[in-house]
Amino acid sequence: MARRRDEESEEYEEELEQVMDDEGEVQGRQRLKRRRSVFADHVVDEEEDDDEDYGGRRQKTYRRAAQYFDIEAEVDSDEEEEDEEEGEDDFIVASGADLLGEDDGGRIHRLPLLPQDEEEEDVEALERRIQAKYARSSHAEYDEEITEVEQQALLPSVKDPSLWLVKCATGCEREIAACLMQKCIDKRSELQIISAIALDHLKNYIYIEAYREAHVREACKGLCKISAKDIKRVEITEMTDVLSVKSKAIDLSGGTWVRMKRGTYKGDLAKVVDVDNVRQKVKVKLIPRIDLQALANKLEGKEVPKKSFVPPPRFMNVAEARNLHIPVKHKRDKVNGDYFEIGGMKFEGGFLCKEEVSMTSISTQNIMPTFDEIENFRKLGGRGDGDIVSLSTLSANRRKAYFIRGDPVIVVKGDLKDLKGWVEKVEEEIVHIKPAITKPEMEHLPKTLSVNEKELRKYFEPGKRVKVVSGTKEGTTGMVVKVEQNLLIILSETTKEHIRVLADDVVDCSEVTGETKIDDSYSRFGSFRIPHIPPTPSRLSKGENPYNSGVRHRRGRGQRDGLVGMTVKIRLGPYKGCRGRVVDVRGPSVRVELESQMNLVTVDRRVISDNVVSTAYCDTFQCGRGGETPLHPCMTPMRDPGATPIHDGMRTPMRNPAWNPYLRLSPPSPA
Amino acid sequence: MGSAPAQIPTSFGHELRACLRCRLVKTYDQFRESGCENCPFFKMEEDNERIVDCTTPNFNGIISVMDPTRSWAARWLRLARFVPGCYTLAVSEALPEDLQNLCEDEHVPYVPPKRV
Repeated sequence: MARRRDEESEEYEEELEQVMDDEGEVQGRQRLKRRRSVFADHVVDEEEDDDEDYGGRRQKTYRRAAQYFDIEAEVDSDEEEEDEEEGEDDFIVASGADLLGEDDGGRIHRLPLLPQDEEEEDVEALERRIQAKYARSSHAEYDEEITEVEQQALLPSVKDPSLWLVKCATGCEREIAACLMQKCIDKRSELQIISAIALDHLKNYIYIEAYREAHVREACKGLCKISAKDIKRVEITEMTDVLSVKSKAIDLSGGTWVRMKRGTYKGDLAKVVDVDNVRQKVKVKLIPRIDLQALANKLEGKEVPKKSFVPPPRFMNVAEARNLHIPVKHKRDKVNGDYFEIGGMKFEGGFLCKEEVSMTSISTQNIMPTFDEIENFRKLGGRGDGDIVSLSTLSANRRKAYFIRGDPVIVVKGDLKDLKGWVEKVEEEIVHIKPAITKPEMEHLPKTLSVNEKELRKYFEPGKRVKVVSGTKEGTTGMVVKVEQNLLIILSETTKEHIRVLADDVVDCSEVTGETKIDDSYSRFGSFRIPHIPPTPSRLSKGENPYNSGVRHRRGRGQRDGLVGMTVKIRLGPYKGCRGRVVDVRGPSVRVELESQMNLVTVDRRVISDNVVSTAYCDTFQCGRGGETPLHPCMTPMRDPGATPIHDGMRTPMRNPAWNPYLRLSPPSPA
Repeated sequence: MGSAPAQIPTSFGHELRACLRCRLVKTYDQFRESGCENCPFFKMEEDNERIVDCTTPNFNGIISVMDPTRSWAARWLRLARFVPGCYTLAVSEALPEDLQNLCEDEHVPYVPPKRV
């Protein structure tokens, strides 16, 4: 069915046709008209709705978006629609040749290069209409590549040159493409090819864009590395595939984390230093796993037993190698600086540099470097940028943190960013927090806010005493010195070192607080007032008085008070071996003034010398990770004949009116 | 051929770099000599340190565009408005922000690379 255009009215139309969905239903066609400022003649805007006309017709091909019709072309396109699929290929070939005999003529039929603004404006209008009309439609084959309507407008048409696949010498693909470019410059209009494409992942072939096969042949003449014998035309429907780039190759670049798949370093984290996309190889740096002694033996010609174990990762110590009489060559690279050659391997800054690593032997997806792994790289890596990478990688790969009631937290993303508070309740991914009111205007905030756990971090103020419960530093206690996003810098009590740990891996380990202490800690939050908090009824077993559930012998205090003034020796925990004097007794803990450290510390009363129960200190005061109930059956001291019965859940002095049995050692969580 | 073509890369090793805005491919030395033919405002020929900021050795594929006005491939890759020369299909990094701002000031388009 031909639609005749009135040539005299000089209308220029633009047409967009929707591709069929999977069920084969025709979604309809749409026409859009555009003004062409390039053409002086007035363009009539007229809209025609073609849906009725093409209601049931099947279309298996896609059509280009922009098309200038002369009558012949229009007729041809209609015929194309009427044809069955089989005939379509021939048709395209035929029309292609006929229409584009003259190269100059092709120009007029081309979409003119419009000023940027106009193009964008029209594309937006195009986008709106299509989205409105085809909101529900599913997409055809190559729509996966076409994510924008704009791109859809650039699909190849019958008026465009074709792509021709041409065989060439392996490894020379890029050079041949450049050679053809040079030939084009030299020969000018004699060379009629339009472009030449060398794909990194395709060896032995290049694509040449040209209107005719003859042009391709002519271009290849005189080039020894390319064969004009094997020329194949690419299907119009596959042309966009040719130009789509594999995302994996691009994602890999200097600084990317990868893991080795094979060999000694299998599973080890490595950092990409350099990428060669053509040869599909990378240069990486790793923490070396070298048995220097074995290497020394091997180099001296001694027998080396077959390694039955993989050496642990350790930065290369050049002095150590030299001491073992291993030859070390110190070299300088103009790009990378100093490096050492030891045993045929290259070491830079302590790292092993592996070059020529095939991309197939590294994993690039889902690397999830752990905090410790990144930390290890940092040690000698030294470069400032490493830190930035670490922090952002960490937040990207952060494993699920376990929040429990009472945890002090801070919101790190979204509208509530920087809001501090305490965890009230955790429901899978949603954490309900009680916000800390630091300013009067915050009074209007609701009592509980729901935050996604991904937007929340545990928050420990500098000065807080904490304990590391996960990772390589597990067991360390210390004071928070600095907070850096998700990282805490803690001064270890035992080693006096500054260590870096994730906030997620740490729990509060403050001393048991008396009333005064509570006020102090709240003062950090400004004018926050503690209301009297009745405990949540649902958490109690029936009938139990919350204030008494953990306390059974109030009288017991008198007995404990007798300790004050006694000189004791600490038997367990970080202060093991220290002598001191008891200055105060608070519930199950005592405060001891350490002789040596001039320090006042809190220890479980059971670890001091007049006690024989060997219960681990401090663990008992932490709520189980992930566990909801703070009551630890394991800490029942009833088994201890000598100790005063101290009872489960009893962690705060009874005097505290805000005492809550579900408290851990942080400030009471406000309800 | 319409406009004067860009320099053609003289070698294909590590020195090959692609402009982060227009994706023109040349060697480091060529950028140093004559800058980027499509992005003269980067002034790579004047400030050699700019070369490292404006170009990258991480790119994928090469396309020699002889006639940008008629090439479908150049249109698809958004190279149709640039001078004839050797380009890459995709670069791995985005242009640094300050240089993106420079593009805005110069009223030239910049499309960051797609990350799938």
